[in-house]
Amino acid sequence: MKCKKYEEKIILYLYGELNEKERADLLSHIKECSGCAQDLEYTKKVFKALDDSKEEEAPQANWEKSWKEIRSTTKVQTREKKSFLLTQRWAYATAALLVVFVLGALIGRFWFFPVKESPFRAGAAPTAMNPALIEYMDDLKPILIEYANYTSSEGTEETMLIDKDTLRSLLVQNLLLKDIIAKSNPSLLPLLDDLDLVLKELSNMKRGDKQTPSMIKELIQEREILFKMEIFQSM
Amino acid sequence: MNERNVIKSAQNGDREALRLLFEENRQKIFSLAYQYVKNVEDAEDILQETFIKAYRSLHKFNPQNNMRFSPWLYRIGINCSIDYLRRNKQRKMHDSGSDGLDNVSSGTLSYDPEQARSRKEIREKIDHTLNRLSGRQKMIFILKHYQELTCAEIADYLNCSEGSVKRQLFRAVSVVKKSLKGLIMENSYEVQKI
Repeated sequence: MKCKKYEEKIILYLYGELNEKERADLLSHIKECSGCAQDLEYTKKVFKALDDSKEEEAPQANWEKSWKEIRSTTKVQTREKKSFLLTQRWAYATAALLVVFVLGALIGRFWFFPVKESPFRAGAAPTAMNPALIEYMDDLKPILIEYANYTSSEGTEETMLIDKDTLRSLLVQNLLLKDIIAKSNPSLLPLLDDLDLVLKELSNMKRGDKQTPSMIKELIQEREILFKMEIFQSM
Repeated sequence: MNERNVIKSAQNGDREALRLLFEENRQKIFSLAYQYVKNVEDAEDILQETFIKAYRSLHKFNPQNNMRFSPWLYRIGINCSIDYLRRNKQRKMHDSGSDGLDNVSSGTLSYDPEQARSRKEIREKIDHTLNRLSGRQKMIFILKHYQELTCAEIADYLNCSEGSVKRQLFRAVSVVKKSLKGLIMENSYEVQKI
């Protein structure tokens, strides 16, 4: 009966993979254990059979054939790389030609056939501007409605105060919108000026101030700010 | 021209340098692949795959890191062989391997036809048994038994621990031992005394 512990060691011993101590341990064990001694003898026979089955020399590779294959594969890759570069170069050239053509067409279009302003477009808010303006007015509307409905009573002013950061942001937006709209839709400028005035009054309003809310209410009503905003938003 | 210069030239697209590098290592890779698949055509396929893979990753090879080209290529060859066998597992490797078995040199074999037949039977049994092992186990066995590498070298090539190589080698040899049990007992093999 062979011992499990030495089974692996016998194989490693025959492969010369044991150190001195392990070797000595195995050999002294084999002297005492007939099962392991038998296993060693049998393993040696297996190794001999394996050695016999080993060919003295592997056949020679057909190197010329292999190299031809390798060469053609690597050649294709190089060609692919080149053609890729060429494709890129062509892509750049085509893109450049396209840019020149488009620019030429645009210059020619505006030079020889100037764009006539459509009567329908005059005064209308440019489509690109609409979202920013609508958003801006949506932010302002609730504030303006609150002031338009203002009635003086104890403590109302406290709740109507708007924080300084919000007001500053609305003022900056107003300034930017005015700058953009001045060229494309100047008819909206008076409304933005009115809103600017209201926002500045709100910014200057102090805690406990009872006069400014009434003044803002009058301003909103006199200048019909909410009405103008409604019209603009329905356009 | 030393190896480093040849590698540099090959990396810069010099085909002659590439051929030189590959030619120096071709037989070693082919012999490993052949022992693994036991078929000349498949071994040639593995050789080509190895070199094409090596060509594609040649730019990553840096001889300055004390890296030698031959072991680097050999490692690619080992992996290509394992991959190849994995891909072609359905194919009966030992059936196509008859070309190798029939060409075995008779130097170590007896001329007695009876004994020759019996040894052929053993060889076929060994090949059949090796084909039943996992690709990695078979490779470890071939690297150890036929390529005569140390377990430490095998562990380095296969990127695993020496202990793992020893365990797998033990399992592979145990399977071979078991499969040859009846055949070996009937044949008398001369063994060296320890």
